[in-house]
Amino acid sequence: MLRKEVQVERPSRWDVPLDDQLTSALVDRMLQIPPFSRMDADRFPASCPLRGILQNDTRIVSCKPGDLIVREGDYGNSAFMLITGTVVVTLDPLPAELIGRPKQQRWRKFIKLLRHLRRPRFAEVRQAIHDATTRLGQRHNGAQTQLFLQDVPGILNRHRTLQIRPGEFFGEIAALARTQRTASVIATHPAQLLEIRWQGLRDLMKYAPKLRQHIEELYRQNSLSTHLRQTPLFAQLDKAQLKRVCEATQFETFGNFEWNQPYQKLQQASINERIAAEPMIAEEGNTPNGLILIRNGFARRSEACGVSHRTVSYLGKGQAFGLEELYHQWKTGEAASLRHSLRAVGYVDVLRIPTDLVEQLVFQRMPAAERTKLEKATENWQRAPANNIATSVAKPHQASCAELPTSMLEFIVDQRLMNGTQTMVIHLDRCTRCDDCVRACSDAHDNNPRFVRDGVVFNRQMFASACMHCTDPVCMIGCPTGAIARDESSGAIVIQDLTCIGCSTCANSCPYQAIRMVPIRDGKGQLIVDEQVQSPLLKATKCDLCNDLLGGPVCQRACPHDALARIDLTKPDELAQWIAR
Amino acid sequence: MSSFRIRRYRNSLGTATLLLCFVAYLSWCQQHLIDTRLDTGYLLYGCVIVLLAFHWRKRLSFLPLGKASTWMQFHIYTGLAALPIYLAHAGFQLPQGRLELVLSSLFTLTFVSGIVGLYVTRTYPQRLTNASQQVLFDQIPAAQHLVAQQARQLVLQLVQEPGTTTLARFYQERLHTYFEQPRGWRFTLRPGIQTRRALMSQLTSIQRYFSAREQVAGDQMFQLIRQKDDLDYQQALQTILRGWLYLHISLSYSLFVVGAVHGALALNFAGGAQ
Repeated sequence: MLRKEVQVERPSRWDVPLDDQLTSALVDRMLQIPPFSRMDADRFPASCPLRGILQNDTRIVSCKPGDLIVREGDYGNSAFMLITGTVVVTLDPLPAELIGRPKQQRWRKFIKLLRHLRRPRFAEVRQAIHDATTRLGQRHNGAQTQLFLQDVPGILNRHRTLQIRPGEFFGEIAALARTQRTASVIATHPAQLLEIRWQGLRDLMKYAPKLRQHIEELYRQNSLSTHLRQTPLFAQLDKAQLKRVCEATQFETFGNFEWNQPYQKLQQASINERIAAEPMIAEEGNTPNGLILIRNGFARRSEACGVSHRTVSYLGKGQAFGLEELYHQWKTGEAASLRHSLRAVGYVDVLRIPTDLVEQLVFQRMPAAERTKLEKATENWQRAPANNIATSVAKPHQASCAELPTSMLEFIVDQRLMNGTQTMVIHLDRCTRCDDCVRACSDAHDNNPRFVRDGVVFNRQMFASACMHCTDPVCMIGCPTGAIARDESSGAIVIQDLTCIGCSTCANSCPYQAIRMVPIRDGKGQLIVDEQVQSPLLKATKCDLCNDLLGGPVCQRACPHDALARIDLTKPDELAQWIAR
Repeated sequence: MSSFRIRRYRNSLGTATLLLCFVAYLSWCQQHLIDTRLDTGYLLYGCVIVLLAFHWRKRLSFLPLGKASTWMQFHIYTGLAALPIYLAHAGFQLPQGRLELVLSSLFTLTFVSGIVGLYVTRTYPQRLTNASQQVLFDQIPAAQHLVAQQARQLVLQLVQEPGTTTLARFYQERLHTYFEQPRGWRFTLRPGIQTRRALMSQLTSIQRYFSAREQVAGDQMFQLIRQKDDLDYQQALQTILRGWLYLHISLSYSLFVVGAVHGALALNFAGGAQ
């Protein structure tokens, strides 16, 4: 019998380098300059050498005066180090129009509304292809698209800036924590930068402790206090106390940053296998080692049940784990073990705050109402033991999970639906399949609906294939023009049609298949094609929560049977309340 | 108590109160020998316009005109209230004359279709959800075609081997029509599992004649019969869910037009024959 197999080399991490034009000579040159010259190459393992990281995870970016290297509000997956030249970081937010994100006036929305009265005969008709009003320029450099600002001296005169010195890093926090860039960085003179993708930066931090300390220090100085201040537990602390917490906080990272790819593969595995594959952050039965705060991503809170684990709830950004146990310890003086395990779902960044600080600064200053809540919760431990299968399936596990049963929570976690802040949920027992929602969406969006009334179904609820406006919008990573961005006022992820160049990066990145590439037409219904290659011009389309219309998402307003709602699944109680109407 | 139940009680109470006011007004007019036919006519035609406005609101869904579900509630209770208003307007008598007969027939049909629609929209979605798979209405014919193709392929593969004709004969005699043809209006109006059960029972009874290969194919055929039946069931329910609405809207517009004619004539001759 013939053996039908083909032998190939196993794919490896650096098969596709960030820049295949990067020469060994350039890498040698980089190894001569700080901070790489100060790194001990022997600390790097053979599988991940320092030279390999520089060769494969970095590229040299040459900028001209006016180039916008980092734009505030964008999501990025790389950090930069200045090699030569001058770049500045803006300390004040730049006007939205200047960086290509015009804010829509209310009267403009009204005009747009009137325009809908005249329904176009064809789908996806565009009156303009390029944005003639933008003050942001685009320059194509091979496969790369570089944005540049006009009138840089004027901008520098009107806004406070800080010059970045050669050897300094920027953009590392947003790249590592997958948060929005908080400031813009502009080249004022010709500059050369080293761009490092997050995978490389992560390894550099792992094997070069000084770099890790440096980046963690930067985060501690610039962002941690803001993050803690937004967390209700630490909101009442004064500056000095907050500083103490910041200094003692430890940073930990679990899971895979590019969670969207393994998640799709893991769908084939059983629920037990999937839970077992998730990296453990804290294990049930262990003594709590500080308070865990979720900085980014999601974590599954589970309890042992038979040979597997049962999902109790999921935690997102700003939520704490181990608080009840620590409180019990502090109050009674008895050692308490963790009642649940915490596992990373995809990728999670956590902050660990030492127990003694939580006791001194949080519990002692906690308002009486909060204390009563915690006391009640710990009292309930005795009444409803963690391993009681009947109570945990039928009754709520915690106040935030209202009535959602374990199976529903597990479904939401497994499908990564807890990422959605505006998930379209359809109650199938009320939905008459009339498609009024689809028709309304089509009427509001160029005769082409921005969602499909189809999707995963669980417990008579359909989670439709519509953009969920995720808390962790992986679609925004890698957009070359920043066309896809979060609208500051509504929080919706919106695509600027005139800025979109149709590269499909966002559509390929979206793990929920909520972005579709569509060919565009002119007013006569003719396809608009690229004059060079004669292929149709594509635009990325997705639900924009009817951002340019008055009154909110039309799909929800159009449903006559109260069957459709946009629900924030980062808070499971919202879904529970909606189901229990 | 669920929010829907509270809403139902609140809206019913509101409608009942308004109707009581209406009855009180009628009795007051009766006591004072005031002719109320014009008043009730205006009110009734106003109700028709309000009821039709829901359809116009649906067409202008992009305008901020409030939630369609709120409009729906208003539509239901206005529609229900229209019946006593109509009876009062018609003087609790059967219509006389052709136009009045057409008009009252249209009103009755529109009202009945609305009630049927209310029942259908409240019960059919659950039945649809209970079905094994959720298929979009537009995609059902393609899915049916695929199932029919799979059944045909299954049989064609089987007959290539000698001595495996039993299932093929059964397919030819019974299953071919079932897979290839639509189920007809009776099934659409009252979808049931009788046909599927009968076919499965027949298939079970002839299984003892099957060869080993046919046994395997027979199991697959059971699956396909179930799939086809599920698709037909979905199609029937969704056809009713869509069909009643088209009927209801057509009747409503007819009522609107004929009502306008009736109103114009009534106003023209309001003073009596000259």
